[in-house]
Amino acid sequence: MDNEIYDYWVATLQDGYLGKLTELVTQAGGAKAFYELSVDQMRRLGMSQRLADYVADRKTDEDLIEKEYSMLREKKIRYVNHTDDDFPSRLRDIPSPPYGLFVKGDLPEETRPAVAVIGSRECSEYGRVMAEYFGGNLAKEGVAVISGMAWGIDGIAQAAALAAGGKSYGILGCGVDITYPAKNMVLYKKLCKDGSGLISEYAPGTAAEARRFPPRNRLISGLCDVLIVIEARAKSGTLITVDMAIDQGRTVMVVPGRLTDSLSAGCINLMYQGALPATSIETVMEQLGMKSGRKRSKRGDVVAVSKNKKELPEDMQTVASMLTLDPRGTDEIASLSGLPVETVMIILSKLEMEGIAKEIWPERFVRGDI
Amino acid sequence: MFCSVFSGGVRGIEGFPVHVETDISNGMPGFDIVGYAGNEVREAKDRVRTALRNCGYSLPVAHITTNLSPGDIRKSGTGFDLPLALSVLICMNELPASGMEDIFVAGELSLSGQVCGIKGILPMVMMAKKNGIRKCIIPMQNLQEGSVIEGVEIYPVSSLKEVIMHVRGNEKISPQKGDLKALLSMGGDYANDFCRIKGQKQAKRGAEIAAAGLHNIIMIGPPGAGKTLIARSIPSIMPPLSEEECLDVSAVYSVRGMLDTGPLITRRPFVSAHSSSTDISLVGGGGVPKPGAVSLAHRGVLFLDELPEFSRKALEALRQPLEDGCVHITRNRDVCTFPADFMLVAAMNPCPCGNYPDMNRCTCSDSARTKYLSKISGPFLDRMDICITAEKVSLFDIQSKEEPECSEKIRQRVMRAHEIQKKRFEGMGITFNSQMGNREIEKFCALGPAEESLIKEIASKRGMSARTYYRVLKVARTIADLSGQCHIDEAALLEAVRFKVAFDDSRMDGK
Repeated sequence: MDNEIYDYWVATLQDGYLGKLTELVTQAGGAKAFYELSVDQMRRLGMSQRLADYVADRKTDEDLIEKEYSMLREKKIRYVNHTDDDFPSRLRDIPSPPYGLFVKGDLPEETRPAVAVIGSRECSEYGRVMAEYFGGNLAKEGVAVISGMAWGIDGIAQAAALAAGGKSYGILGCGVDITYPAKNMVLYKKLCKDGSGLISEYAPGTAAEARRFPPRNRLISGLCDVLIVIEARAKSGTLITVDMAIDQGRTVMVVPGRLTDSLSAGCINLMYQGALPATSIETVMEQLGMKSGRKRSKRGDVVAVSKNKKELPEDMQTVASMLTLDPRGTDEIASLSGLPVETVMIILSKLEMEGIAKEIWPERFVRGDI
Repeated sequence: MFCSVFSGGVRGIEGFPVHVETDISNGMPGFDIVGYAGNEVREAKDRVRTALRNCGYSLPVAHITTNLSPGDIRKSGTGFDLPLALSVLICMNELPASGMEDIFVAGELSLSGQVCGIKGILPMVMMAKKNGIRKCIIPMQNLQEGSVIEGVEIYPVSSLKEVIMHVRGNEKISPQKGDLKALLSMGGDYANDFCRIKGQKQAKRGAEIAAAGLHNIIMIGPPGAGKTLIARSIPSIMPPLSEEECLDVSAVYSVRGMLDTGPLITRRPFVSAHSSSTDISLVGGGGVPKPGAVSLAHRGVLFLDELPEFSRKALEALRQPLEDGCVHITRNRDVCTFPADFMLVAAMNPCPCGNYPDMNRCTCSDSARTKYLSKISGPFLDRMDICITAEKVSLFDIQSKEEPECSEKIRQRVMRAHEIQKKRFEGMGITFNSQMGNREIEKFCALGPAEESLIKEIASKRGMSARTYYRVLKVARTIADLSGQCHIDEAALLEAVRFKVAFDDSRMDGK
């Protein structure tokens, strides 16, 4: 029988997060030999009783394994073993490398520079704009955008990268046949095609569970050259990825936020500890060792409010000038502008049609043309 | 010997005539009550027997049969004690039979012969008047609510002896007459006035539009933003109750025995239902159906605070009264229809912790927020025409010298809008913009070509559903009515969009 199926079987054990799987299999003399080990033999290899029992428990009929393995093709999922040629070389040298990867779509190209953009699921409007800026513009420069396809920063950056015609790779904490979070269905479908891909070390059908995300994070940082953090709270899960990136020798950059924003507290702390501020696309490109074809953006001009093509009437101009990335309520705008609240509402509707105002929550407006 | 006394019962909130017929005949001594009588009515025989004895009348050693006619409507309540006692006395020849034909009698008896108050006097007296009765003997305790019906002489009594003296003509009780107009004009001020609310301009504007078109309204805002205060103030900007409305509302309160604060409900009711309310407590029910919160809020405001905390069953039960303006309740003992024409005001937090979208304070995960919002079903949300947000009032607004408009002024505008709507919908069976169906919307919310293309552009930009589109048109109609315009103009549309679209937007559950 083909040796592949034993490799596949060993890979399904990764769910137990056996970081030393590769080592154990080598000691046993190959995947097939590892499959045939008894519990006693496994104990002799230095595995704990619990682990040996777990492996023995997962042992199923070879026919069944083969059937499962052939099912992968039907689901358009590829299994890539660590010994395969197209296994990402970036992952070969990280601590506890995966035994194999399940891939839907494609793996990132080895020569293409890769940047991971990660951050809070509950992001602010500022975070959203920053994620779009970095995700979209890096993709335009030919950089692959890696992230976890989570709600918030991750998904926004990846969607922006795809929208800019670039490549993006989602590293999942569940099987690649599962859309988690389900709200990202549109993004999931786009990631499956056109050279982008979904990658996981968990076998198809594995559900998303909290314990599977920290191990997943080491693959996000492992697959990138530079990690950019946008909005992370002081005790954010994002920081786990940062720790792993540091262990793996990757460059960590953070997008600065305000000292008063709790959503940026984690970023500020990282900057204090020595992480580089990502102040523009150019600074990131510099870290990647690339030269940007872009015109160098002026300082303070990273994300510029586009100049209005049309001249707005005075009232509209007044209200428009009060819109920022910080959401403002109708009442606040009315108080600041001194206009009656009905007028403000009418103007906001007009500005919304012009794309200048954006309602992110009932009666909460931000600048929409940034 | 046979005789009959005119009394009445209450079914739902309507009074119905009951003839209390008594016959004393030879046979085994006993006292029977027939005529589909409830338990409390059957107990009347013991109260009557004892009360009579304590007033000096012993029942004859004969068979007494009492019938409550008509026999096919269930009778409940304790109001039949007094007519029962009187009919027995007439049969015993202690009282003259003549003169009792055109008197309505109701009241509960205590063992000592005192007459106690009963529930539902108001609808009973209204029914008596309708049946051509001009004199009513009712308990002294119910005098206030009983005496508001014009054209009826009310004889309040506090003991059986008084009644006997009165009927015999020994000691006449002076009749009381109510003055409904005087009562209504005393209606007085509402405890909450919009001039006490500083800031919240957008919310107040939304409330004004809602009151003008009787649109249901939902408020989102953090705890302590003043959602409840705004809700409580809404009745103060609605037009005063008309005589008819006042009697309608008071009848419900009378049936529930809740007319203890005054003779009538003269101000628009504000009913706040707690989030632990069951569907039955909201819409009414029980073995013998009783009106629920929606009927107590008839012609007024029903306030549901913490909307997502209500059980789904309770909220779904509200859909029928919201649609029909009344509640039909079917129980094995009876079928009742209660009025329930109210304005629904709901309030909720934006997320479980209440601080979204303030990301520095909100501690909720995205999924927790989605789950919280999804507790309100789409069909329920569809019935809310206006969505407003209450914001925490800034210090700037509190310290502002600017005096907010008082309710009186807003009420004038609202009443003007009501007048316009009344004329528009004459003979169509509806009174307010919120009640318009799609056909009426097409007729009365016709847009000019410029407005048409404007709303289409907004609709395509925001991904507006057909339902939302119609709601926006209705609200725009009300805004135009408030400013006295016969056509919906651009400004009305642009403002109406603000009150509905964002809430219906898919962006409510994320970005």
